[in-house]
Amino acid sequence: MILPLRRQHRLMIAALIVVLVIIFLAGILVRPESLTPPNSGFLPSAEVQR
Amino acid sequence: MSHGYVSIGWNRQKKIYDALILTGIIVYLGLFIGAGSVVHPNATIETLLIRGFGTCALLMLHIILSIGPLCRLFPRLLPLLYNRRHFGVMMFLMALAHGGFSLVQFHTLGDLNPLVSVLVSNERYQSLASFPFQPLGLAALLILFLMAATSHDFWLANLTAPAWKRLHMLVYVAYGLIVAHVMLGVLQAENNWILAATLAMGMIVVLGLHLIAGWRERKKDQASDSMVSANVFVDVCGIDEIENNRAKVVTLSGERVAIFKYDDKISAISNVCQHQNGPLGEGRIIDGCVTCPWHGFQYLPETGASPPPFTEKVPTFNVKVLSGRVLVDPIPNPPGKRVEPAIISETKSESANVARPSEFYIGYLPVAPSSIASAIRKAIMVMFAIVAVVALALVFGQHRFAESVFEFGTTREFEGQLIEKPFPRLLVNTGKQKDNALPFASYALVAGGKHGAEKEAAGFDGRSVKLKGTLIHRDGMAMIEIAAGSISTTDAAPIITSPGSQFAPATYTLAGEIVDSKCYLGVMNPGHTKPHRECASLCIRGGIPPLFVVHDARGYEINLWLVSETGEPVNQQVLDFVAEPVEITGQITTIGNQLFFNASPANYKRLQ
Repeated sequence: MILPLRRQHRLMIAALIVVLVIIFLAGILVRPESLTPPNSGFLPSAEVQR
Repeated sequence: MSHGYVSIGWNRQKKIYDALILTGIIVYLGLFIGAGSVVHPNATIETLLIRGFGTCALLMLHIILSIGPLCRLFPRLLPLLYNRRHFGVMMFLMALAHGGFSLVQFHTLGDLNPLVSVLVSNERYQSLASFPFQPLGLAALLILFLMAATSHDFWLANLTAPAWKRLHMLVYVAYGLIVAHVMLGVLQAENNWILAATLAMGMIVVLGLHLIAGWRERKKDQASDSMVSANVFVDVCGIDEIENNRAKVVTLSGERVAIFKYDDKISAISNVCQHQNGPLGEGRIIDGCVTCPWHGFQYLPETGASPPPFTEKVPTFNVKVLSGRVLVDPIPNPPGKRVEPAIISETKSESANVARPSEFYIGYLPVAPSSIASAIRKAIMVMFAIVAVVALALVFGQHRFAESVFEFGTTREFEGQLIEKPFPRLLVNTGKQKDNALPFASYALVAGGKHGAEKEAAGFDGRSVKLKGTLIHRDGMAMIEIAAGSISTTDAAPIITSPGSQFAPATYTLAGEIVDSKCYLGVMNPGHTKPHRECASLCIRGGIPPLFVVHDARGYEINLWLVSETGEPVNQQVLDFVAEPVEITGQITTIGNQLFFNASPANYKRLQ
């Protein structure tokens, strides 16, 4: 859908690129590697539940 | 181009175009769901459908957004643009199917209106990591709906071209919302690099093509704009530089002007088509009319007006020919004003007027030139290859699905002792008593949909009962979705008289995730992490007991029923903490063979 480009269209594309790159990087950077990190120390065995 | 409004002005090219899109959709969904069910046998069909429709729509949106700049860079691909609105409408239908299935799966059968649930089940707007991603998708879907609903020329005429174009430029806003929906949603849980890399590649292609096309246009504008001087005819080119029945585009005072040569005459009109701002100067003269290369709208070169009964008009420019040069007045005339064409007489160039094989094609013409047809065939093959590669990459990029089961459609009968507090459970005699194992199994009880079983179980505490229900189980833990009204008492002796802890309570500080037990144990797969947050919130709000899922140092998963320090339900207190990493300090106790985590909600602490 690219228009015959004028200044405002070029600015819109530049703004879109900046916003998308920020969103993409933010999504990568805030992502926790694991939502349930391991816990140290003795814990009751899961077998108790069976 | 049609005068009266018909739903679709079908022609051969449109039929082929639509058939190819449908084939592409079928190939993509077939590969994604077919290969997905083989690679991920534990995945539920609902999950595969939701993911299949969503990724299909996203892939289609990338292709749609790439077609514009591709056509600017490679005009032979213009037939891809001709029927792009059908592509867009089908993309919307895929997105709608994704949204519809998600709404039914995650937001129906609860205590809230499904649309309200989308908006209020996660209100962590202040956190980037926990940001509600579903409203972003809903907003994008609304934009796509507006675009699909107004895609017909009826709306183009009634909204006027500028308003219609502004509305449809919102596709870029929708694209941004969708990227955010994906990055802050499914890609928060699915951390395989293939998925993020595939999306990054799509973004690079879309944005890169726009940048390159924009850069090239800017260069052209700069090159021709330098010739402008105020209010005098501007020498724009030699007659020989314009191919017969075609145009040369120049920029005068910031406006692009298309200068056409036809029938030994020269006329100049605005380069911008009134239909969708298509570049008229890249079209050609057909049947005496300037024909837009995008959708075939036509204008008379002398007047800039569409031939009757059509009403579109573009500005004209005064033009003259002197010594083999074309001169144009940079001040435009009002749209539709007749301007006498400049006559090419003895100065015309024979070489330029020699008929050359034309590469121009618009969809309502019977046959495309072989060069264009060949380019389109290659582009279609590349697109189908992309469809296959993306579908398979996304199948293999997904996490392994847990071995959880919901025996949907199978009702069994159970007998045992019903315990009401802190949430309904059924203790079923197993008859085994070896290795210190308890002689009974414990089944948490829930009602249908996103509801707990408190009402069904009321009045049966401690009594021997039989009931009918559907089994849900994961990794040794089991739950029963009770068939409504099926609980009745029996004369069997109670299994236990005073359920007590197997070992002395001890205090722990544990990191883990709060999930709704019904989905996590098998009704949905996956039934945890951020993409499932809104559903988990709705389930827990409706009475499904919350589970606290933690891992020990060896990586083994331990599931703890989360209750207050006094053993009371905490459903309403955990709603703001579900599906994100939390740290909780409390005491682990056992009742029967179930692990409970007694902790004050005041001790819940977010880890991010």
